Amino acid sequence: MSQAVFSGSKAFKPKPPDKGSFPLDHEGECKINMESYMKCLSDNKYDNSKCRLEAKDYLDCRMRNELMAKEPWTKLGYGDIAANAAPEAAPSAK
Amino acid sequence: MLIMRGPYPARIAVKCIFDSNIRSGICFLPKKQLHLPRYLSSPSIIVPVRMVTFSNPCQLCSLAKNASCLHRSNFGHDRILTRWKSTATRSHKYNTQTTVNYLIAIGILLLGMSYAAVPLYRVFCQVTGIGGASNLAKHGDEKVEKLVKVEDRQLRILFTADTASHLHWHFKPVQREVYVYPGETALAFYTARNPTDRPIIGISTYTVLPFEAAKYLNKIQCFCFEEQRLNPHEEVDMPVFFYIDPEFVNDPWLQKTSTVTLSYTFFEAKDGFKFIPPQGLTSPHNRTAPSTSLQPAVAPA
Repeated sequence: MSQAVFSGSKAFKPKPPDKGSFPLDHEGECKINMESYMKCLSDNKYDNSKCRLEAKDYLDCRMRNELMAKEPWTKLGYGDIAANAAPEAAPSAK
Repeated sequence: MLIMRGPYPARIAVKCIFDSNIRSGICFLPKKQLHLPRYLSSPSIIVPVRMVTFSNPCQLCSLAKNASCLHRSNFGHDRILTRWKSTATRSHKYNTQTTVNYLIAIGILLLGMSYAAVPLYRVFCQVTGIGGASNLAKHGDEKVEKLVKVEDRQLRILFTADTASHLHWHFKPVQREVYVYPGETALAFYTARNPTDRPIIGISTYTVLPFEAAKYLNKIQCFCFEEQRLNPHEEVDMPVFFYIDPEFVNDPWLQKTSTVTLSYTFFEAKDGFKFIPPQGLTSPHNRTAPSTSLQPAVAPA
């Protein structure tokens, strides 16, 4: 699917993700968080900005269940939310 | 034969004999310059009414302007003619040969430059980084930390899912679209279900449309390029954590683009299949749970 694209050096090169691949959640440990995030999205017309808290909760669930490496929230782009929720214990850095 | 314009409308044919350096020679100038009949100015006819000598070629030009005689000398006419022919031929041949040599040399030089341009360009690109996405910082932790959300441009990200024909998974995105601002991290989900009775290992790749937007969609973490194993009758959620680079709004090619499509395709990984990861991808990062654990089939409600 590279219409109107000149081949050669400009061919689409998929980039690997920064932090690699998510391990699969075989046991469904974070499915509840996923569903609450989905519900938030469908309530807010799929606007991501309004559901960042739910997304952060999902990632937090993954970190707790060792399905994702623990990272400080600033490194995941949630620095503003983490700063606002100072009383909550933030996950420790790796 | 040297033809020079005189001060008169008619052209004046001047026959010259040069010495080997073409620094000095003898020229024949017609006595009468006005109204010289054409046939008399052809190379085969010499009208040596006067003979003029010059000691450097510059004088020759001025000589043609005023045809007055500067010098008289006695030369045998026939001998001069013979010498003129042989000298002229030799100098003409010398000129031609020199020109041909120069042209061949220039041709070889251009050919060599076009061959040398390929590795030189590659080295230049490596050193300066131009040619790729030079104005985008290398994506990494530092970049995510410094992300600034761009408020005035909201983008719609569409998600599509495909499987290879022989892969029997049910693979689809959980949400069709997400509205996102550049500079803001976003989460999206895909679902994959293995309806068969045997575990299947799949590998996915992705494309981004429009093509120019591909370099701005940076994935922090996803499920691509790694073998993902699904046990029989298992359904699993696959998240994609990404952001759109704020440089998106500065790209002239993308001024009218407000929809970006992220498309994943799953293929089956066969045994003995040697997967060559794309450039830059090394071992899996941050893998804390084994993805190939043999667990009983789980079908969450």
